[in-house]
Amino acid sequence: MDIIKISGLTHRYPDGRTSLEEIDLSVARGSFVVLAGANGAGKSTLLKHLNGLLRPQEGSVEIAGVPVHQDLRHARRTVGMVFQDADSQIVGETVYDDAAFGPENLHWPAARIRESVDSALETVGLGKLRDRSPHLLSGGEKRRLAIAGVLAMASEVIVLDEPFANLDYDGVRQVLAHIVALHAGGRTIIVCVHDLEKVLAHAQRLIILQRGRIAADGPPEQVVRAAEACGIRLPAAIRMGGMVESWLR
Amino acid sequence: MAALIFGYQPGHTVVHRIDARIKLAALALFSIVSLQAGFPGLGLALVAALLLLPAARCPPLLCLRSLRWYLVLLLCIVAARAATTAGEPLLASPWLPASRQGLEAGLVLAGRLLVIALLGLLVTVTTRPSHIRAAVEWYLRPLPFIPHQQIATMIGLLVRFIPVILTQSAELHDALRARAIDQRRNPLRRITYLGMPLLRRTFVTADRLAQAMEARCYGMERTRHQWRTGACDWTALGLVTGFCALLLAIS
Amino acid sequence: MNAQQPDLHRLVLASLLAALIAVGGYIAIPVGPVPIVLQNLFVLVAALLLGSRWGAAAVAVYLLAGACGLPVFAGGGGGLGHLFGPRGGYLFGFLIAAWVVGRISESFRQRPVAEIVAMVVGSLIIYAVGVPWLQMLLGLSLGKALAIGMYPFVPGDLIKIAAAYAIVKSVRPLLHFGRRPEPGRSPADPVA
Repeated sequence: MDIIKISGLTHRYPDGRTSLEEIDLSVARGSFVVLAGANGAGKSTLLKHLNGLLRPQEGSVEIAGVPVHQDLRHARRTVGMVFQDADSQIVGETVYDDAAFGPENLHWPAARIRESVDSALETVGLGKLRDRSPHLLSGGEKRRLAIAGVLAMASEVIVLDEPFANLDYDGVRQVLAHIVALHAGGRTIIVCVHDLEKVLAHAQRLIILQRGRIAADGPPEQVVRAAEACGIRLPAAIRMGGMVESWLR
Repeated sequence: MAALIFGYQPGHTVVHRIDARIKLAALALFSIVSLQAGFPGLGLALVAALLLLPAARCPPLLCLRSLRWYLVLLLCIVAARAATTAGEPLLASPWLPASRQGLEAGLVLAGRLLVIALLGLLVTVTTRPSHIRAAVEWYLRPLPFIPHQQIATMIGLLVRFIPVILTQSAELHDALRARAIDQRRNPLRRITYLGMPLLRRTFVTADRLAQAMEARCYGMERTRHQWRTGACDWTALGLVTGFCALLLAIS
Repeated sequence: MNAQQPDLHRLVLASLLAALIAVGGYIAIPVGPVPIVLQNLFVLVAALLLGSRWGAAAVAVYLLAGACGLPVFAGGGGGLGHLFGPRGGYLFGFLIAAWVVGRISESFRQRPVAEIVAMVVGSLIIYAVGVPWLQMLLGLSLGKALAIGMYPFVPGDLIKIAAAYAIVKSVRPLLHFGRRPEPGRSPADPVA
């Protein structure tokens, strides 16, 4: 059962450069996909098509069987997006307010919002910090708050753009542990990175993007060797002939 | 840097629990009344404010620190009034022209502003920013032609981003100092070198923020704040009204 | 939903510029005896970048938030006390100045001379409201009020007007509402 179905997607910048060309891609419900590519390969552009921040210029994007442009709200509810810059995606004055922002926009009744926000904050381990100003959180906590904001909307698919950027070892482990737990809980996860080291051990599928095209796609152990040719560093363990070990161990 | 701004302190006192709409109404009422108050009324109001602050568990030192520049301004008012108002001289020395009437007028004026500032501080410390935002929205809702929901969103973003921009400007300042901006004598250069990157960063933040809000379905119809007004709130409103009437009566 | 996007972008930018105005109260550049506080610089910049309507909205939201006790005024809490206090006149002056500056710049299609004239007029408006207010509050003569509340700041204001012009000229090309073929692509955003 595919929750995301992209066919023939092409996108050009206003100056005429092509950023995505003829992308065909389906993602099965409940899978853990790593989308890798060098800077400028078109990762972020592709992600922005998943919830209608960009409209397909050619081709189509369907979320759970519904074309994105037909029902933007449905797409944005289903696909929760965690952006790279944690500081400028946190909207609320406090941790709780921020997690409640999405559900409030969906016009849910207050009781349902409270329940869903409380459980989202508990899930990412921020329950105790609910009255804190987001500015005072650590990098890892901010990233987790951004995830909670998506969870509170009950999104089925969680898309994370460079979730480990600017995080220390502990922060990476915290965020990674929550991503893995969410996947175990049945959610579809798409992680977008330019460095495979931290996340590859948990991925079920690796997609490598190069200059707007899909250069390789498949189970990580088969695809990963193509990485180096596409401007992505091969994880050290694989260079040594082993397998990537999880950062959680 | 964020500590520079003295805002909401979580707590469970009675003052914390009162409905934000009532607190705002009380603040407005009180401010208008104390602008009319004379010495006896002001004394009473000042005592009331000074009793309420500890009752709401405001750390007194922090209050003092956050109002210190304001207090300096108030002292200036007293001094200016005392020096410029004609009347019987307070001191024999011609070098310190101060009249009794002027001093009184200055003290009354400074006292009024002090009371208003202390009560404003009380509201700031005991009310969640999101509740203030919701209360503003509630008061604006009946007014025609006012996009109350957008204003509420803007207030929320304003409060959220002050510490972020403060930190950014401090970082920028350090970065400029590291590159010896202090050697520049031209203030125009110094201002533009600080202002340009600060605005550029603000633009980038605004872009990303608008996108993140869109991704989280920001739209016109949002869930409204649920107000729960109890006996406690009505009692508070009654008390404040009574107190204001008393102030008016003795002034 | 599509039609609302540029509006959302403007709303967010106006909120952030309001935050910048609040922060401007804290940023002082030491020049001579009177340090230059950047608050009114950001008021002018906001008016030129956002235009009369949204520029005034940014200042209005800043004042409204402060009046309701949110800690946005330099010096933390105090709410209405600041609006009624000695600086109150200047704060209200910001609101009128923002609208007028934006209006002049719009009417003359952002011509450089018009923008500089607009900022001079705007600064004068701030004093036209602020100084009589100060005079009333302190019970001074107009001459003394001007000596305390305006003359010391005039050199700083001239510098600020020049700086505001330079800043606006350099950052305006980065602004892109109105012509947004793609929502949310900023030039500063890496093409990833």
